[in-house]
Amino acid sequence: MRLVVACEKYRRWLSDELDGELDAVKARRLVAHLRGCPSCRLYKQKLKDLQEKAVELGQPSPPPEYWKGFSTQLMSRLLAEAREKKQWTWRQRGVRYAWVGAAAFLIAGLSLTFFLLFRPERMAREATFLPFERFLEHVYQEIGGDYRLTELFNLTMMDFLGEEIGRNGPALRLYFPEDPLFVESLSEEEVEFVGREIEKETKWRGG
Amino acid sequence: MKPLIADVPEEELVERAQQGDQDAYAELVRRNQEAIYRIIYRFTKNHNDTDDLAQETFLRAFRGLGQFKRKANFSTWVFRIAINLSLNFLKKRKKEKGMKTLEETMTSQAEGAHCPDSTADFNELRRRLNEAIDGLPLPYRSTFIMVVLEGLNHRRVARILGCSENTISWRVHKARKMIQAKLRPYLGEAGRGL
Repeated sequence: MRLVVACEKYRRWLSDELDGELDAVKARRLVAHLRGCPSCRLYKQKLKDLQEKAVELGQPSPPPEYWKGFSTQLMSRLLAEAREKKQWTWRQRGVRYAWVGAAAFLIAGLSLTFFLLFRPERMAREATFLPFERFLEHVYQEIGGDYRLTELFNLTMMDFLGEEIGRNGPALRLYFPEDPLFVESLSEEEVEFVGREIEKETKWRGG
Repeated sequence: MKPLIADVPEEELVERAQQGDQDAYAELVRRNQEAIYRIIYRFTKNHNDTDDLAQETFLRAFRGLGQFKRKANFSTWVFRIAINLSLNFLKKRKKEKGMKTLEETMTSQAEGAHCPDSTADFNELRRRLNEAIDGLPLPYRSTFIMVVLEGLNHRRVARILGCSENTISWRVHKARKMIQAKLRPYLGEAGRGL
């Protein structure tokens, strides 16, 4: 068994030797093996015979005139392909530009929509608080039927007015009582009360 | 003085072809066309298919020139394309029955060109040898064709087939053994000690 394995290795080396691929060291070992192995010597002879027969099979080659037609046909196909490739490149470029244009259009459209929906002045307008008089009007409309709430609100407003006058001085004195909406939103008693309170407060501060 | 295109080294031709020089590419084709034809013919055994595949090989190489990194020779690269196309062709044709070959034509061509003193026994042995080669599994067949019939060295075949030199050595050895085993019944007819 060991002998067979060894022979297999040398037979592979014989194959390499036929291909001119066996290095010098292996070649020397092969020669030494062949000297003592008639089976491998016979195998070598068979390999050489097979090699000769394989070489004798000849090289398939078409007639010489074939090559002229071959290269002519090939070059015309290459030219056609190059032309097509060029056209295709332009076509591809056109398609690419179309895509870029569509994307730009889409982005512009979205930007415009976004701008119109959320433009600063609109946002500012929507964020603006109700004017004071409209606020009062709104509150009185809401709570007008509820005496207790109205009273509470008026008291709160009076406190607020008092504080405002205290902070800003007599300049504000005429403002609130003269505000028609403010006055309208209060009852006569309340207006009088507010007037008196403001007057007292102003006097006190002025005094 | 500008050198003739036939004298330009392959690397320069490849570079010029990559830049769109069609004359350079035509020269690369001219230098490799016969070897490519032979390799493909060894698989197809028919001129028309060989012609188609050879054209396709150079067309594919032309299309792929931009990606060719010049790590291998152009010829090695084109050989690989040719082998791949041939193997794919054989796989497709494998199912087809009654495949018609021009083997006889080529045999008669080869007879006239290479072996004028041939005998009936010799022709029979040659036919059997061809059959034995055709009957090899594809990896062994492609290796045997390139190493034994085309005389390419193991390193180059390894690069073409994308495997190690050791694998090539092993495949050639096994292919030789398989062919010998197939030819054994006909050795009496051939009268030689194969």
